[in-house]
Amino acid sequence: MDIHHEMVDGITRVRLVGNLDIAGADKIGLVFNALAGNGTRMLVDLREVGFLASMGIRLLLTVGKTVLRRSGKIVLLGPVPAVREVLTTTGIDAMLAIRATEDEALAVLAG
Amino acid sequence: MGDTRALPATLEALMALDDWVVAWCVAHDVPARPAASVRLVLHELAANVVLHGGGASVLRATLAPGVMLVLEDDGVAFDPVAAVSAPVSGSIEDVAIGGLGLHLIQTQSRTLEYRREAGFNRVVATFGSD
Repeated sequence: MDIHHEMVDGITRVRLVGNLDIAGADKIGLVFNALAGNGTRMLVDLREVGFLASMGIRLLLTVGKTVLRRSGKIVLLGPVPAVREVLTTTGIDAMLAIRATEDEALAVLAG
Repeated sequence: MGDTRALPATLEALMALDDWVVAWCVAHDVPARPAASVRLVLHELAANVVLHGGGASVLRATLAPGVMLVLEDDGVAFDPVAAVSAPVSGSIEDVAIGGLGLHLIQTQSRTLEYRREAGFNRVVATFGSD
């Protein structure tokens, strides 16, 4: 699991690549949580995440809580079907905005 | 018919098991959806053992066409079928994060059975073939 990030037009863009399981979450947790503490608008690009397990969900929730507590906005972009199913079955889709396209995701952050 | 891997109950073993289940599903032409479910349930079951298994030293996993997954460990007795879990609900502030793994184990498998024998936990999970 690798995390790539940049700030573009006031939005923290985070791109995750690989498996968001125990090892993956452990590897990127520090950086991901630190990013959540900066800025108020975050786009989490999940298009290159092939696997999402409970430890990864925990990390997404922690990051989401941090952003939302600071009155910020966060959106998850483009989860593949297997990952989308995990987000739905655990109820995360009711807590964190999920959008299929970049335009839709940016619209959430602009609103 | 079944293919078995026995490994020490460590975090490294989780990665080895992940590589193994992915390769096994490809080799047996398991469609994407059940393959994703088997992969996830194996990860969550094995992670439970490694993180909460009360001194487990060994993990033994078997995959058979159907798809059937058997996971055995020598840790403290734990029944993932009977354990209570629930999806996340309410506001994000109220979220109780514990039990997510169990919820996935219970919802992503078609059938789930547990037995304790001779000091081993034995979980058998089956998955649809489509």
